[in-house]
Amino acid sequence: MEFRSAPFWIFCAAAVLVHHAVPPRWRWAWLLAASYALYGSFGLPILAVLVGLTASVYAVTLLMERADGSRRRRLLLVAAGVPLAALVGFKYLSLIGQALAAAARALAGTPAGTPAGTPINILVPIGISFYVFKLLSYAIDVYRRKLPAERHPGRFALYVAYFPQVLAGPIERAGDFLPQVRAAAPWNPQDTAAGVRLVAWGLFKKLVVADRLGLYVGEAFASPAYKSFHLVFAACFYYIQIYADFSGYSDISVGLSRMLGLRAPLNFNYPYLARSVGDFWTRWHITLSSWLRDYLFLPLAYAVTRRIPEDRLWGIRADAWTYAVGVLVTFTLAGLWHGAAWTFAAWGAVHGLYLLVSHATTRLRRRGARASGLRTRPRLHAAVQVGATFILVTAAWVLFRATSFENAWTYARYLQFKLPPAGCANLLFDLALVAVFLGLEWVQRNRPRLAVLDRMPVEVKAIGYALFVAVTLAFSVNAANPFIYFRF
Amino acid sequence: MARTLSWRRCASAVAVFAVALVLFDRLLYSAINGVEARIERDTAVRPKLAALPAPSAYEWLILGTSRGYEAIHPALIRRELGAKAFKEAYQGKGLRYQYEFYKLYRQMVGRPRVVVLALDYFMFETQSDPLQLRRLGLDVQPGGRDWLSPWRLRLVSDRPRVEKAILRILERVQARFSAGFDPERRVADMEAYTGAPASHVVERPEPAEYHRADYRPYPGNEGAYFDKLVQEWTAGGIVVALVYPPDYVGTHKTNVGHEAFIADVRRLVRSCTTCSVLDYAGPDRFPIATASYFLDGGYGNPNSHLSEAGAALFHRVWLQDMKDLLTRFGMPPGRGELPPFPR
Repeated sequence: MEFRSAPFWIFCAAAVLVHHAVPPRWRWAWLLAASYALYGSFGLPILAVLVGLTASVYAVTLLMERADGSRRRRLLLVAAGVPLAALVGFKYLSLIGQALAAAARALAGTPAGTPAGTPINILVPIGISFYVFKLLSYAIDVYRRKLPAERHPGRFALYVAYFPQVLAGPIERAGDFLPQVRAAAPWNPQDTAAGVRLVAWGLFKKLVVADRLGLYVGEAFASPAYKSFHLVFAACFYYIQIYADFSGYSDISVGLSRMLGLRAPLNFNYPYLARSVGDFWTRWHITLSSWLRDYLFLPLAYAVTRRIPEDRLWGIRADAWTYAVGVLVTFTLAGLWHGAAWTFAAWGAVHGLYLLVSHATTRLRRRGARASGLRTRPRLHAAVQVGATFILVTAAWVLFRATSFENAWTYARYLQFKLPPAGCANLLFDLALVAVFLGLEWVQRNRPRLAVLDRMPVEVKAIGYALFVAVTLAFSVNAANPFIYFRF
Repeated sequence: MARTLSWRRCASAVAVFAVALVLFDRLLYSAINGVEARIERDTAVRPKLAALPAPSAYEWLILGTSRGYEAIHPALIRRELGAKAFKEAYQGKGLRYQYEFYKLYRQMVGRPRVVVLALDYFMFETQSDPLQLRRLGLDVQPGGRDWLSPWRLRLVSDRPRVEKAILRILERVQARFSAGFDPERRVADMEAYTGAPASHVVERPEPAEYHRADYRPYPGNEGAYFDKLVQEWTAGGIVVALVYPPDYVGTHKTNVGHEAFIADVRRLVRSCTTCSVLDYAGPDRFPIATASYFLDGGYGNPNSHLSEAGAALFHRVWLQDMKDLLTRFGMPPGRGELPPFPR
């Protein structure tokens, strides 16, 4: 079901209306049926995968709750291993196969450029990266006794398959979601209104900002040669595009949840205002970055610490080793999580390196800021930090967007700071669009200070919303572009 | 504490929203059309034809849509065959536009010796862009005349046209930026244009499943104008080449009704003894799997256009066929060797 299509929105409206009409104790059943219906519309085999993984984790975690010691650990291995194996099998088998084939060819001395053979084509279940992470966090939380195992199979299945989140997150924790489903809050018109607002804002971000910038970006990446300065803008626009695309989806998801009376976690917090790469990761895809912190980075850092017996290893402090290994492994895997391609892994590794360098130069940068007088001008200091972070993150996005290392290299090679006249009209239009978008974001961010907007009569607000919808309709791109993160 | 609204206020807000949405819809729609019409004011066809420096020099006339615009170039025809050609091919110039333009051209410039019509898989179905028709001086309202119907949002029901209008506005602004290079509107630029260099085609293996585009059969929306064109050509004894430029392999496989389309075209021009159909769609006629020869196209995309490199290669192929064709009609292709140019 395509998100632009009328059936999708009729489905959403029906899901919300019926949800509030059925008795609270049966709402989970309705939402689960709706979620399975939506997911099943992408194909029954992938629905079977979702149901199978849900059932296996549900059953094993119930056993795990009653077990102790090594049996508990073994059950965790099963509970986490089955969804992880499915994720690797569906998503990465082709990449692993290609890497093994390349290694075999190298060992056999086959000349470079020899065809790699037939790639393995597997239908990847949509949203598997997201719901597998939900299953993993749930299994680990039960193992750590942070969360009791959910006894109600229906509610647990709803946690995994919940339709506003199953396709591309947010990766909500079971500890936040399940109590809300059990409580079944009564209908609140304020929540519904806020949800509608969020959905409308998400659609604007996707249809107008992301898709329109995508035209400019797509052209630059498709043939970077001779685009010169446009490539600089295209990289910046890609940052805004992917932000508008993914945060637009998240807004729609959170908005639908609000309409259903459920609170979903925040996934973005104005990442382009980040003052360091570390800060960026507290603002970008927050549910993934916090998942990686809790379930990968911290356990990994703890494991590394235990394996370094002294304060220093090869002259480097133990905590530096811990941080370096933890960050590099976490971010490289975070990159690979986005897709089975080495460019994604490289994107993650680059972010890991940024963090390492940032960590290693903290004192140096602080001294530099003091010496240059920036410390006494906090606004200018913040602007410099935001600008530098924006440039670093934008440079890494080129790797993320490129179809291959060769494409990324060509892109970098043709970068020039001379603006050719061709394509300037589109550039100016897109710059104006970005300015409008950031202006609207500023209004959202400062909403508490703009109480005058909330005090306006509801009829005036209705006129404002009508204008907003009309502008969205007028400037949306007339092409079916799925959300970027649907691929992940 | 959140204020709660009475049902009456809620209902009045919904009513205000609905009325305001319809009003803003009309307002934005007419604003976009107005801006487009304003920037297109200087693009009427009649003055362009009237200003042709030496009308009788144009022996060939090239007609078509965007596929023809990117595939067939007067500069290459002139270089290979020594014949001067006038091109009137662009997006939105469907069969109705071509018929109306042909009548105007014949009246103002004269009857061409050779007509090349670049075929388009959807040409019978696709309606000519009202804005293009207005450039010919025809009284056509964009989006029809159902302005008062509150049940249809113009920005939704006329979505493809709104999108095109926005792109065209940008394009026109662009033309002003780019040192005045505007091949669609300035004849000298049109004669110099040899295609766009960039290829946006991403080479991918053929997917197991993708959208297939069925042939929308004759007569469709504008097939009747094709009949009228054929009658005009038959009556004038004009040598006509109906050329189907190559499609990228993905697009070629997407357009599953291609053979039926070509069969229909052949059937419709059967009575025209000077009309020939030249089909370059298949891999036996052109290297359609080479991505760099195409600007766009792919599996599931029913439209593709030749790139500059593709057009250069294509001209070597089809102009050879044109030479043979003209020889068959006893017409050497080059300038000065043709029979006198009748008005």
